[in-house]
Amino acid sequence: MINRWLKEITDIAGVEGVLLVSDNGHIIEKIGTQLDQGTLEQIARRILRIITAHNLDEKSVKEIELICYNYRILAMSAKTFTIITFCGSIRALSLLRITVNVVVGHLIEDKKSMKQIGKYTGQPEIVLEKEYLDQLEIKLISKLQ
Amino acid sequence: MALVGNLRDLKLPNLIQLNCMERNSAKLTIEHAGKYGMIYFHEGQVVHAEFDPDIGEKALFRLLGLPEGKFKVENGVRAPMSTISTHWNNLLLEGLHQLDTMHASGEGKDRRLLEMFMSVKGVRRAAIITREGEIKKGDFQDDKEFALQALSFYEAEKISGLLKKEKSQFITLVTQSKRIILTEYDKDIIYLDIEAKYQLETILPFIEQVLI
Repeated sequence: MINRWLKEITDIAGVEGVLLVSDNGHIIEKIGTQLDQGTLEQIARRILRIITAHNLDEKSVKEIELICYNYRILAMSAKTFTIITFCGSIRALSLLRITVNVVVGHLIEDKKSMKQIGKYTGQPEIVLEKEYLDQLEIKLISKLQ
Repeated sequence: MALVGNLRDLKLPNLIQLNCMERNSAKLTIEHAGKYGMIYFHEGQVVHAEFDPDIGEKALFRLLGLPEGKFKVENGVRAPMSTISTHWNNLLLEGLHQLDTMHASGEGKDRRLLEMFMSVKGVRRAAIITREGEIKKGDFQDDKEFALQALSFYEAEKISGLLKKEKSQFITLVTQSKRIILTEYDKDIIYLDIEAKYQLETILPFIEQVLI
């Protein structure tokens, strides 16, 4: 079921791949991307670090977008999971946003999907643990606490 | 018939001088990056200026700093209020002096850049922050927010590295209460707080325009 919903996103022209990530950075599902597992895990962890750091400051992030000229990464976050989309040159950006939003909504409403996601959720603060951080990250995160 | 043009071709000090020497009563509207500024003349004197969120001389001085913008002069339009009483000659001298002082110092360069961002419609607050999350230039202080966004910027840079892409041009974040745009500026980070009702896609081209 999760795979079917994520496919709705990858069907949009320009989308190169999509990840479903749990709140602690675990990759639950991936479609389409050519990047290796290690790189994807690092990307997921860094995006989750932004989201979890915002939560520390009681600012819930709904959406993050990284724009590198003709390449974008769009991350949309729900409480226990985040959908990360990798896009090349994309014309229908609004369509992509709406579709990802709809997929987030469907996943939240679908009990089977949430049960599957639930197997991997918990301890989101793990992405902020010192052993995974460099000096600058430690310094910046200490200012939030 | 209204006189229309662009400040690139006819500089604002010349436009003001022209209206004052002709003893005009008129409204001069300037559109820059989606935001509108107005200067009113009454019998050859500047009597009122508006450039959101400022009015009076401050608004006029900010308008004098605009490098470009479409303008329109409509004759016979009365000012809604009077906020300026300084003679137009002295106003121009003071405004241009302020611009020269700003340009002469590095601090002025940063200040001017922030002024230009603030003149983009939808930008609520602008600041330059260091990579350590300290404020370098800006009119507001929010230590936690700056640390948070410096961290977001750092993580985004690392992700670009992982993807072997160029550095991120922009990072945008939407939270429950805010829309934030981050972009690199020299070794620092530009932080822009955008009004929630504006779509980031519509603002980004104007931000790019300022950065060029």
